[in-house]
Amino acid sequence: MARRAKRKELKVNTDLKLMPLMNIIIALIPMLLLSAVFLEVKVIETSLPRDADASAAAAVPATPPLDLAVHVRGDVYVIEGHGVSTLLVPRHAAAAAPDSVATQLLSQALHQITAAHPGTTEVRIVAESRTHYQEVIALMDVARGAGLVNAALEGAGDAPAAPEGGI
Amino acid sequence: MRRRRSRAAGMMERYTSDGGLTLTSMMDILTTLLFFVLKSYISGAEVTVPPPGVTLPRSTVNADMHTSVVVAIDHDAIMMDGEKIATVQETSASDELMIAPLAKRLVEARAQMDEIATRKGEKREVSRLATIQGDAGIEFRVLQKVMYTLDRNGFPDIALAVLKKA
Repeated sequence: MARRAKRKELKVNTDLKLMPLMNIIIALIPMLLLSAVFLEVKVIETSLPRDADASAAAAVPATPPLDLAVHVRGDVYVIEGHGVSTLLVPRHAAAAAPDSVATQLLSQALHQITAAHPGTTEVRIVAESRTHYQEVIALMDVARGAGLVNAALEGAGDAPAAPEGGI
Repeated sequence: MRRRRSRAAGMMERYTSDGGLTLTSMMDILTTLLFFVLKSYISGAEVTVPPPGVTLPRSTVNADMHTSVVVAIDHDAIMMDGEKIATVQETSASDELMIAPLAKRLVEARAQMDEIATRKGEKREVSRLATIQGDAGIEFRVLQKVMYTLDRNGFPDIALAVLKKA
């Protein structure tokens, strides 16, 4: 009898006590889910426009640089560049981003320019002070789609000029 | 009689559950879910969640974020490291392109980064990249001033944070 009682005492419960850990995880998951953003954040690398340095300015190139620019003005987008005829694309001034028609026209125009000037990858986006950030990003997307991957941002001249950069 | 009783007791022991739940499989699911959720916060060793109140613009670009100084702009304030540096209203109203409080913070950040690099003995140049997390609705003049301030205070490489279009 005594031996049996001894054996009963030695029985140990080896199960892990998971409930406290479960409680922590159950509290953590909804908290993280509520504050999580399931959208991918990407970046567009850009810079301010630079003036050509002195040595480059001294050397006169055989052909002037294209200096392609997309200007955002009241109710029109203007595409300008050396050796490129100025193109106008209608713009909805109240819209936060170019509509599908404007996007298509801009894309076509920029594609034609890049096809006529192979190797061109630079473009200036010249925005007005009240232009929405989303519109600037949309224009950069259109330019990138046409192969103009180096887009620099510039103010439309209503702000004081920078000492070196063009902004 | 005794033998019969002990056999009955044995059967009871064998077929009666103690009422405890089997938690191991549940724990496996929850642990996997926890890691998945934590992973969605961090991508490429960089926290990618924009601050509350900032709705990033949408773009088709596909370049990942890199570790850098982050300046956030919402409708009310310009923030750096989660701390409000200047108000958008004052910045818009000012004729100056340079945002003085932001410039001061950037100079401090630059000095701190250089000091850390010196102490670590790093020979390569410290990153001059800054990321702007701007709300899609902000005006270009605010972005322009922030970019100018970054450029003039040791951060000429600027990345604009966007949400990838589906």
